[in-house]
Amino acid sequence: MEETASGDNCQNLCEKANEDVISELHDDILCYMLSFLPTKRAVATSILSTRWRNLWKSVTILDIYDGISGYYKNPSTYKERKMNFVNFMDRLFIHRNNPSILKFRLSLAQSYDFTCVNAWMSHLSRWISSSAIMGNVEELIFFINFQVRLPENLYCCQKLVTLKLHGHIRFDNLQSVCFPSLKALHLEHLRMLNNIAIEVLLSGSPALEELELHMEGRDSRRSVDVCSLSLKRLIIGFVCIFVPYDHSYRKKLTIDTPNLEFLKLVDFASEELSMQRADSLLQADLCFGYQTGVFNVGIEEYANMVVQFYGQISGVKTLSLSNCNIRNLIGAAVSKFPCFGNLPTFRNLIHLEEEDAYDWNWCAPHSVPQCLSSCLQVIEFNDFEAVSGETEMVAYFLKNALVLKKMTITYLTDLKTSEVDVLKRLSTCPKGSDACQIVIIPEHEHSRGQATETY
Amino acid sequence: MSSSAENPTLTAEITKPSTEIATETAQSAKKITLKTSDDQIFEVEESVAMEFATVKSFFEDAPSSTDTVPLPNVPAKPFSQVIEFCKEQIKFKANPDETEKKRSNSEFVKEKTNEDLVEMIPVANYLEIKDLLDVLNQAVADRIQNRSVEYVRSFFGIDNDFTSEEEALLREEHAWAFEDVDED
Repeated sequence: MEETASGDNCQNLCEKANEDVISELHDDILCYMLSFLPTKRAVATSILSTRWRNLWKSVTILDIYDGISGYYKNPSTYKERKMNFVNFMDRLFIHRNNPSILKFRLSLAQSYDFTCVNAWMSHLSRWISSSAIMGNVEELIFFINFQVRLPENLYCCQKLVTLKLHGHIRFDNLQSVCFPSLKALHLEHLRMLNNIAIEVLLSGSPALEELELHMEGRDSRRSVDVCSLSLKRLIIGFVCIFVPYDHSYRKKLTIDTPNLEFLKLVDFASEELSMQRADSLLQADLCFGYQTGVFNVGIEEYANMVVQFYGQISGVKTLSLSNCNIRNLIGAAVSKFPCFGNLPTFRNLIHLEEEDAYDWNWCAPHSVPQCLSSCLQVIEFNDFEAVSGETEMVAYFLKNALVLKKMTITYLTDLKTSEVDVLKRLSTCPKGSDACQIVIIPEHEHSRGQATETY
Repeated sequence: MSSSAENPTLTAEITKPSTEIATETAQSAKKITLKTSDDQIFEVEESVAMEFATVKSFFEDAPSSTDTVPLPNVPAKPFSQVIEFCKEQIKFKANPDETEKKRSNSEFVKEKTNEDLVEMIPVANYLEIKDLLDVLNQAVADRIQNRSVEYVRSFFGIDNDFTSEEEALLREEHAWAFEDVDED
């Protein structure tokens, strides 16, 4: 819980016995208030007074998490707690007197008896049907750690805006999907998700604006097609490390999204990439990884394919690159691998961000990329390591970026003082843009800054 | 709180509108007079007062009214804090910045005592200020969510009218709901 200024005041409050202005409020307002609490705590308010006894039964936003841990510490308490949770769920499903739900989040980290789970799912199905009549389920979020099929009627919710699925949810019964209002779909680490299910989900969601797709381990080896006319934001994470590859096929990622504006792609698994119709793309945040001796594609071919991919997204205004895997790229491939040498491709670039700016054999492009002289305004280098090449690269940008407004460099905190001095001397380099402001900060301050920004 | 006779007018707008704002529109300087349940008079800039849906509809029904608007369910103390919130909010109307708005909202609730928060909820509800109601509800939820029943009762000022048998029964019935509570 957040540390607040309330500490001292609670003491006063406890002594003062505040006048009960809250209990005078209408049921609807109190239920709305309870909807901000996890369901567990909303149910606990039943004991406050008779006025509160049944309020939780009408709350339409449910947020359930089975936070039980410590089996190894004490198996008998664990069993008792699990039993308490099962009872809690059973009572919740039976006693709620308002069958319609607005938002429902269920996180089950433990596994449960099949009959139990089946009963919960059929209750849920009943709630969804009654909510469907009212047409008001807006958000469904499931984190489920054991194999389960969600009720079929869940895949047909008229007003559903957000759907997030995570874990071992099965899709083998997925015939058709009808989500006319769905805006955000997150499919995260779903062991049973295949390309057919993705296609069914996307084709049933004509208003979808955001797709987040994460696959890891063996699952990330499946080929994926993302094809949507409405999609504006796409976030993909394929992490596949130390998994033996099947050499009979190549994993392929195809993106066909003519209205996409934002793309974040962290991909250590795809051996073939294809981006079609990226005319609307404004911002790309990319991190590719080639796995030597694992991929069924040679490094040269892979590098060429990535260069081609950059060509397809060359209209972006903001580009963020993370070449954490560049050390694995050797020889000729390094110069081909999209990095600063390929900047000429990006004709509209305004904002460039580079994570782990380490560039093995930096050599200045033959001619100054057009975006440097005409549009690049902001450059951010993260994780500066003060190795040779990096300093030259920064100096090159300072000299040649004619409309640059701000260059921010974050350096690793384990950097020696002398290395930081090298970095600080950069601010005296010749600048192509007089207006350019140079900001040099240690990494931890940068991340703290970001933390305050995101909150 | 001093009596209304000693301090008949609490001027909510302490800062005088600067020249830039004043030239924007003639309306921005217009003030609305509001009277709280404890007979305090508040003069509030129209743009702020229009954040209160209840007040807004009062003027929609009687557009030319220059009368003082009575707020029979609103005491002065929470009302002045509600005004403080709405003054911040209207800045984000002209210049939407979600991150900054969140920061400003969390700053607002952080400085408030439990009593302040609890007293503002009925006011925000009566004046139909949805953003504020959400901010307050979230703040209250954050402060009570892992607390004991006794703590939550005193937080809201609720009198327990259960017998100890009834209470024990409820505790048994919803055992899970009462687990993992922090020490007071």
